[in-house]
Amino acid sequence: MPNMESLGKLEDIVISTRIRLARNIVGHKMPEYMNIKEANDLSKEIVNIMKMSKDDEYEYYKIRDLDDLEKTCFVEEHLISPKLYGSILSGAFLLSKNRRTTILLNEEDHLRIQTIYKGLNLKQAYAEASKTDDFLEEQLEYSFHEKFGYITSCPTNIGTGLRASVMLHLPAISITNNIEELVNILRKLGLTLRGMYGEGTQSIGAIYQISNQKTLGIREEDILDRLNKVIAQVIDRENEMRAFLLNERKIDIEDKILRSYGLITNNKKIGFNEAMNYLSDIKLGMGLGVIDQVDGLDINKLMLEIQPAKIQCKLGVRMDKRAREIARSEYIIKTLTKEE
Amino acid sequence: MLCQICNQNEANMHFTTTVNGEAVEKHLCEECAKNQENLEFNIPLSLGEFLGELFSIDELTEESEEKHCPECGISYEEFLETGKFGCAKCFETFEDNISELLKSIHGQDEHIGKIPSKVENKVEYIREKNRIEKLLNQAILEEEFEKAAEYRDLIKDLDDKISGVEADSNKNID
Repeated sequence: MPNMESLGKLEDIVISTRIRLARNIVGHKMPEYMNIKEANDLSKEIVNIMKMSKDDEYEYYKIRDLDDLEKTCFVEEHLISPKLYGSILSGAFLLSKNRRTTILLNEEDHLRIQTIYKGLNLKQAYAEASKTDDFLEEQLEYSFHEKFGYITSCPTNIGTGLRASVMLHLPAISITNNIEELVNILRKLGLTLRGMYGEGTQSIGAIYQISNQKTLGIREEDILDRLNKVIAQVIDRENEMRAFLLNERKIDIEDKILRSYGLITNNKKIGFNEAMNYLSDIKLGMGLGVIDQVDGLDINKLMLEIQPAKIQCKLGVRMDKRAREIARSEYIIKTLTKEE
Repeated sequence: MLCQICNQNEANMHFTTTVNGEAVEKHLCEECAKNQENLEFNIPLSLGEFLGELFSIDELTEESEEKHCPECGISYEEFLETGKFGCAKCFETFEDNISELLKSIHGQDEHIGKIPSKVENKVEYIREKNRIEKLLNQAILEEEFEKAAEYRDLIKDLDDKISGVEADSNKNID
């Protein structure tokens, strides 16, 4: 019987935590109904307020000033949303120097405060986002309805405006074909499961996001607490499935993991999805203690770096698909085999 | 930007769709976009469509059908089509319809979480006033007019407090 503790390391399964608060300002129409000048003036006002923040320095980016590659890198790092990427007229954002907090401007709402932490850190991430929220609130007048709470453009965000989500690596639940079941269970608990890039995206490399669905009629602390409890359960289930694979399907799972290691270290070009599937197996193998060739490797970081836009930013070269596949292959092999 | 489905080709087709009520930009290459059109199950549903079905226009009273938000000009019908409100004023304009809608989405229609510190007092007074107004109506129904008079006085006090904090916050803005 494998030691459950050796399987159950939190950092093997939980990748990151994200908190998002949606806010709007009194006296302005929602971004979709605003004219460009009004939207830009509002952005400037918020930028000026954040300049006074003592906690952190922020860098200001306008979407229309960024090229496609730069914008895509921000999306791949989850620092901005695909929706903001497309807000070419008046979309903008403020990014904190430590890259933990982004304030998205003129996306679906006037502002959205987003804080990302590594690992499972719901309370800390919320506290940080809420602090930024308090700071902005001192200077601005938020749209707040005494019954409905914080007003948002879409009724699904109203009330707290809080979306809390946790990104997880769930290879064993995935290999044992239990994802659909998990989706159904989570739905009953008022939570949703999404792919790596959020809403409407597919899962790549067994990476999923779990987040709260309800934002109204529930306190912020309870949203976080419930999500935390469910995440703990999901981690338990993932570990049970890992134990099952190791106990009942030892040869098969070892074979799958070692094969993936063999393939990813022996190729000349590789696509992103294919690479992610192999890296997912290797990450599982590291958690199960099946492979020791890559001890100490930060595989989450590698997964982030090999995305189609990030690999170009990382290497500082613009590349077409074929050139990227070749560069990705070289970069992964170098990182995994520690070749110089 | 690369196609969000194949992650290989340049995305030259751009769409905005609504998934679970949130607008999502889709950036696809032509090939994947074509496949999306063929494989209908892959197209995200829009919240607007659902709202339109759930709260069909027949169910709306004539009054709300004609009502337009004085601030942004949208009608409730238009909101149902897009799933997005135009401004904060919409919530006062369509308050009754919105309560039902929010109950169907969240199971509740009352916020119990964080309140901006600036409006904390005002919100508390308004909530208290709403509570007492219900008691007042009950008292009138039960013909307990003495009680009703007490409630009226309490409401008047709260109204004064509310206009007091409103005046204060306006002073701060000036």
